[in-house]
Amino acid sequence: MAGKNRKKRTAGFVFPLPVAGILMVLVVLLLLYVWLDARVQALGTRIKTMEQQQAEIQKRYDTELWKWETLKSPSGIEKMLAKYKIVMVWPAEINIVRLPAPDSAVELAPRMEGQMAHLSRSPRFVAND
Amino acid sequence: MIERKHKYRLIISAVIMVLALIGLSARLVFLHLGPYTERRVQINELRRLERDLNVARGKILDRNGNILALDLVQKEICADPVVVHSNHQAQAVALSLGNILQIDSATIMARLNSPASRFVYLIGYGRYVDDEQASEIIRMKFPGVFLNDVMVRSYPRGASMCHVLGYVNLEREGSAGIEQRWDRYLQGVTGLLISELDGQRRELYDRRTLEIKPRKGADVTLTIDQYVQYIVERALESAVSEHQAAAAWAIVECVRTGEILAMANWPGYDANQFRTTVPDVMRNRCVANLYEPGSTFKIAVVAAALNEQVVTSSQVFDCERGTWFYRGRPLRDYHPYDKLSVADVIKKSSNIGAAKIALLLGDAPFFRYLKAFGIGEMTGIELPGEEAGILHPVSKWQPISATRIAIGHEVAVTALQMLGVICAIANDGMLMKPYIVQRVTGSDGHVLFEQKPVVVSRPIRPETAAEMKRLLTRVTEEDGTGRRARVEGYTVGGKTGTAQKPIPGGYSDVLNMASFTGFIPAEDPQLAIIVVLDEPKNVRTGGAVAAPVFKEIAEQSVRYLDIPPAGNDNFASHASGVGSRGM
Repeated sequence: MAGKNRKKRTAGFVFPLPVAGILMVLVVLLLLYVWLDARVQALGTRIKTMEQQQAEIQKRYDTELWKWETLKSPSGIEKMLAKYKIVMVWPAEINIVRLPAPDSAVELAPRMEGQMAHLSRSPRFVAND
Repeated sequence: MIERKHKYRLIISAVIMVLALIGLSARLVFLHLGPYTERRVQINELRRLERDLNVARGKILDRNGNILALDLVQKEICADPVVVHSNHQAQAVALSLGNILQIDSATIMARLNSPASRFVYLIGYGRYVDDEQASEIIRMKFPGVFLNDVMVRSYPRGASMCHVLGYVNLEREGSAGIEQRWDRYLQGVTGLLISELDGQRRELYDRRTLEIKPRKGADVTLTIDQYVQYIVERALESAVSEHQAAAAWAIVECVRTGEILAMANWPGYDANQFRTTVPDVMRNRCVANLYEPGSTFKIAVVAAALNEQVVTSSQVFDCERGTWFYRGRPLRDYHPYDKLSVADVIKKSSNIGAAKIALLLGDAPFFRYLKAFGIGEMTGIELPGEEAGILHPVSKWQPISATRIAIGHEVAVTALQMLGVICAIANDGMLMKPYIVQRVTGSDGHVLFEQKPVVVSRPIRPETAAEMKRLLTRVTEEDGTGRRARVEGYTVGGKTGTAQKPIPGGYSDVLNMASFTGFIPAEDPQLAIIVVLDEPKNVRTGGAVAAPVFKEIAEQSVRYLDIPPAGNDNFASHASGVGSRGM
């Protein structure tokens, strides 16, 4: 009866390869989980910081808006005018030149064409058409 | 020997470690699974974060997009008296804060002297510190003193438009004006955040289990033009100061559309300081104050009589030389007249003439016309507290009622109703619904509500309206009662009113309401304006007191809105163009 081959027998306990593989996978998964968790934490912190920044910017924007609206209110403008001793008055009705509305301008068009024709005869007139 | 000794030590250490771990694990298991439910709940509650995500109210804007009301984050200064006292800092806190905030340190000390309390407002609830003061307080680093951020409604224009805008109370609810009536749209929807906290009470983002984003309130755009409003407010203020009136109010309306361009009251109040304001001052008298209109009401009876063709403008009435007894009761004119045509009854504002026209018209038709002009009914403007006015049904009229109603007594109206009557005449007989809110826009830009011009009724024919416009233009002629309302270069139509105020047992001889209501330019009316002064002193007639205010408002408004003297079809057809000029 032939005995076992002593050369092939390994000395001591040998960790089974499949178990080692599973353990490796578990360790990798664990590390991945830890990494993902840390990443989520970091992103969360960043999001929170940005949320705070956004709130802060919004707050500053609203405050500036308020100041601007106060400045450009009629009373604010009057205060500024008084501060810099600027006196402004509305023009008298007689000083206002009213231009015809666009519809009336269309009515005037033929007359304008006549003027254009007259001007085009002049050697110094260049029409852009 | 040495090796064995080390071996024992190692074993004992290992055993101790294992026992300690077993002990801790057992404790952990007991805490998690054992009979400590209450404690577990307490711990979970401590870690749990449930917070409402507050949101800004929508803005209120004028017709050109100028912001009239917005939310601002303000800082209120708070303290934990227990912490302050345990650090022996109460005196120092009171003195330093007193210096920074320019208030009596004793007040702060008194607030800190509540050792049982863990939270006090150091300068009072609803009072805030500005940015500079806040940074100084932070720099001081007082233990137990901290700043709280709170959202506060703010009105950049202070007292301007206060009666229209209203205010928001400390519970963030709209409590007057547009803020109250449009609260549903302005408020927005509060969000919710459910999460967990770490040991330092910081939120753990990855433990957020629920986050409902807040929805900002909708923006409300008014038909008001801030510059026209400013013109009106300034004119009222100077009139009140000149005539020492108890109050004054005025409205500017776009004749063709019913848009309110300005609505002002005096006295006003700063909406940012609403807590220190007397409630009576907060009342928007333009819609909530009833008064007997006096002679301005004559336009209604004359318009009705002309429309019913019971009189013509040239028909002459005997004005009884100033005193006429009807059914045993005297009726007097301010100035005695002999004979006046219907046109002159309006121009000279004869009470007797108007009363006789009303009698010719008859009670029932008179009542019907008044109803058609909107008297005794709310206009439906989008403001709270509007009064319907008083117009009794014909069945309750006395035999002399028509003669008194014709001259604006025994009837009570709001300024807005009275303005409606003149607007209907100026607008070819069409009564428009007055409106002050142009549109409501959601935070996502969607238009949630938009108001368009609405014709309520047509009490008189266009021909009658044209005739009335002509008659009312005569009022501002050199010998008319409203000559002080004339605007250079323009034709103005209108009517003066001076009404004695009712007192218990009759009418006061010294207290009265002076008013003027009119439109400009008369050829093609664009703006209608009403001015009312309550209890002016010395000079008391509408022609002397209210007409100059009308002139001041009209003169500047037509210039600002660029309304040409003879009217402008283009302007009329593009009603939304009224006041489109920005500042």
